[in-house]
Amino acid sequence: MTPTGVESASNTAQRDFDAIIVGSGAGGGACAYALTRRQLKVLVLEAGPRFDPARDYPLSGADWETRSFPAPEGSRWEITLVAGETLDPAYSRLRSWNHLRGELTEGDQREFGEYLHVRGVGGSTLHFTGEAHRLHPAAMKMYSRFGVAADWPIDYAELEPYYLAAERLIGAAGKADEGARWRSGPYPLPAHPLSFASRRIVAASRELGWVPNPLGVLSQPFDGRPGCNYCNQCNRGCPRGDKASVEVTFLRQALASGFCVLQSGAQVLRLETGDDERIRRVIYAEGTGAEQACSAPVVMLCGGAVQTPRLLLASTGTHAREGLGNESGQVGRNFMETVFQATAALAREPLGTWRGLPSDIISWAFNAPDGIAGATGGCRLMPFTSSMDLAGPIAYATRVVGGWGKKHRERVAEVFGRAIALGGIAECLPHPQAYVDLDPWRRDRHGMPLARLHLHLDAEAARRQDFMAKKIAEVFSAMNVEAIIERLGSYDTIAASHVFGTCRMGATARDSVVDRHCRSHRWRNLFIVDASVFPSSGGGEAPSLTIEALGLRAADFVADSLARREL
Amino acid sequence: MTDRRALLRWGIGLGLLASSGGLLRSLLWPPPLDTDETALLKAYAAALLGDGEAADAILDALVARANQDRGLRRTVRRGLSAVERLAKEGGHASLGALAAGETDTLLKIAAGAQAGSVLRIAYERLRLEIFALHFARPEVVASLALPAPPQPLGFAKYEDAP
Ligand SMILES: Cc1cc2nc3c(=O)[nH]c(=O)nc-3n(C[C@H](O)[C@H](O)[C@H](O)COP(=O)(O)OP(=O)(O)OC[C@H]3O[C@@H](n4cnc5c(N)ncnc54)[C@H](O)[C@@H]3O)c2cc1C
Ligand code: SF4
Repeated sequence: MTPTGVESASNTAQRDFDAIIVGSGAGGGACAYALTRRQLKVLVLEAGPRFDPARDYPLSGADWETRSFPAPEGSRWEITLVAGETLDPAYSRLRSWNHLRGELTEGDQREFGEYLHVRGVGGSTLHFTGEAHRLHPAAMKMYSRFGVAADWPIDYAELEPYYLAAERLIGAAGKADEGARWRSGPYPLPAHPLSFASRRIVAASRELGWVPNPLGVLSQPFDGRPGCNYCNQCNRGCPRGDKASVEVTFLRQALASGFCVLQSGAQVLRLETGDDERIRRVIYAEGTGAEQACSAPVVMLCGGAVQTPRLLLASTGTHAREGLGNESGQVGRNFMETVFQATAALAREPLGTWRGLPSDIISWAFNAPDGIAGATGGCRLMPFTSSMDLAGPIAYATRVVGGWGKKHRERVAEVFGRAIALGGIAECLPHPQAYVDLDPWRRDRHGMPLARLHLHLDAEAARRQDFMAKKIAEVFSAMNVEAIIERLGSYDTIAASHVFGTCRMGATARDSVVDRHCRSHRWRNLFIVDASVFPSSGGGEAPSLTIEALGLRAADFVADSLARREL
Repeated sequence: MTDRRALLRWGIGLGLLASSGGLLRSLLWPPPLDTDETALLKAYAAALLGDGEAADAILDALVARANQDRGLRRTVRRGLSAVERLAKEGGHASLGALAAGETDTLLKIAAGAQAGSVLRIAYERLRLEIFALHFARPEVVASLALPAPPQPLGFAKYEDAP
C-alpha cells in the first residue's frame, strides 16, 4: 500500500481548484510552479510516495555501494514488456560484455534489466543525473528536413524563453558557447570545474570539442540550496538537495506559494468526460484503495511517456470508446526509447574516477541530425563511469579485477580509481512496431490494466550505436588505456532512462494527440505535458529541461486562457 | 474387485500427488542450508577471500543471505555439490580438507569452466556475494585510495590528481 499524504503551505485542502495536475515529475512540477506563480489554485495528484533523502539515499555508510536507487513501497510501476526485434548478427560486436564474465546476454532478443522510471514526488528526476539540455534546433524538424519522425509544431525560438526561465529556476550551471543552441541570456550559474579524469579525456580527444555539460546541479549555493560536494552518486539520489530534481525546485516553490496542494499516494484511475468535449471528473485511488473524485476547469496530464497513454487508453466511456484523446488512433504510438552505448576501460594512471560529477563534460560534435555519416539522427558523448556504477570498491572487486585471494585484493587496491567509462546517447526514431498499449491480461491492484511496452529498434539505431562505440574506442586508444573492461548498450539490453512519444504534439488532429500548446485536439480542457508529447527524441539530449520548458509554456497558455475565460 | 482397483488407483494417484507436491515444495521453497552445506559454503567463500581474510561475521552474513534468497540458495546448493564432487575426484574428503594450493586449482577450474555451467555460475555468483560483503567493510574501504564514503563530505578535491 502506498502511503497517502497531503501537503500544502496553507489550508487549501477544501478549496476549489483551477487545475488538477496528474503526476509530479518534470512536466507536472513545472506546470504546478508556473500556474501557482499566476496565483491559480492547483491540486497535484501523485501516485507514488514522497521520498525521504535522509532515509532513502544513505551514501555515508561503508555499505553505500550495495544500495542502488531506493524503491520504497509503491515507488515502482509494474509494466509488461514485449521486445520485438531479433538481434542483427551483423552488429554482434555491440553485445554487452565484461572482460571477466564474457558476453552478458544470451539469445537473440534484447534483455530487460529494470524499468528505471520512478513513481514518487518528483517523478523520474529523483533518479536522474541532472543533465539540463536544450534540444538541437534542427532536431525539432526531422520530417521537413530529413523525411523521418514528425516536426515539432513549435520551433526552438518559441521555446527559448522558457528554456531560460527553467534554467533560472533550477540554477543550471553551464558555459555560454553552445553553437546551434543560441541563448538569450547567460546560465544563472558558472559551469563546474572539470574533474581530473575529464581533463584527461579532453586532452586526449580535443577534436571532439568537449565542453562543460550543462547541469541542473548547483555549482554554488542557490535559492536556499547548498552547492554540490562532488560525491559522484547522483543516480543513487542526491541527499543534499543540490541536484535539480523537481521536488526541490519547481514543486518546492509551488508548495511555498500557498496555492498548491500535493497529494501523494493518489493514483489517477480514469478521466471522465461530459457531453461538452470537456473532462468532467478525475477519479483516483488513495493508498487505501478508496476511490475519490475531483474536478477543476483544467486537467493537466503529466504521467510520463508510458503512464500517460495508459491512463488515456484506460479512460474509455461513451464519448471515447477507443480511449481518451485517441480520435487519431495515435495514443500510445511512436514510442521512442534510449539508444545508448557505453564502454569502460582501465587507465594506466590513477584518475580518481570515484569523484566529481557523473558527466561533467559533453561532446556535441555529432549531435546535429546529419552528424553521423550513414544514419539519420545525431548523438552526444559523455563520461559514464558513475552511470555504469564503476565508482566503488565492490565494482572493482567483481567487474574490474579477476581472480581471488590476496593477489585479487592487492590488485583492487592498486587499480582503484582507474576505471573510466564513456557513453553515448543517440536519436531514437519512431517505428510502427514501437508503441504502448494496455496489457489484456495483467492488472494492478486497482484493477487498472498495466501498460504494455512494445519495443523495436531498427538497423539505423544499430548504426548509431556502432558509430558511438567507434568514437569511444578512438578516445580510449588516444588515452592509451591498459584494457577495455566492459561494454553495455541498447543493442541487446533495454535501459529506457529516456522515453518519449506516445501522445505526439502536432499541427493536426489527424496525426497527433495534442496541439502546439499541449492541448488535446478534442478535449478542450485537457493538456498533456510530459515526455509523451515529443514528436522526435533529439540527438541524445537529456529531456527534462525541454519537458519543463514545455510545462512553463503550456501553463502560461492555460493561465492566459483562464484569465480570458476561454477555458 | 473393481472397487479395489479403483481404490488402488485412487491411492496411487494421491501418493503421486503428495510426492509431486513435495517435489514442487522443494523446488519452490528449497530448505535452508544444512550443517554440511553451511560448512562447505563457508569454506568456498573463505577460499575466495584467501589468507584467513574472511571475517566470521562476513561468512555468517553470506550464509544468512543464502538462507533468505531462494535463487542464491539453489545456486549455492547445486554449485557446491559440483565443487565437492570435484574435490572428491581429486581424492580428498571434502573441499574443507584441501590445502591452499589445491583450493587454488579448484577455483581455477571453476573460473575457467564453460559459461553457463553449474560450476561457473556458482563461482561467479559467490564471488559477487562474498566480495560485496567484504568490500563494504569500513576497514577494507579504508585500505583503498577511497578516503571515505561519498557523503557527507563529498570529494572536494576532485579536480586534483588523486
Ligand atoms: C537513471 C535516469 C537518469 C536520467 N538522467 C537524466 C538527466 O540527466 N537529465 C534529464 O533531463 N533527464 C534524465 N532522465 C530522464 C528524466 O528523468 C525523464 O525524462 C523525466 O523525468 C520525464 O518527465 P515526465 O514528466 O515525462 O515523467 P516523470 O518525471 O517520470 O513523472 C511522471 C510522474 O507522474 C506520476 N504518475 C504517472 N501516472 C500517474 C497516475 N495515473 N496518477 C498519478 N500519478 C501518476 C508518476 O508516478 C511520476 O511521478 C533520466 C532518467 C533516469 C531513469
Ligand atoms: S554529485 Fe552533487 S548533485 Fe550529485 S548526488 Fe552528489 S552532491 Fe548531489
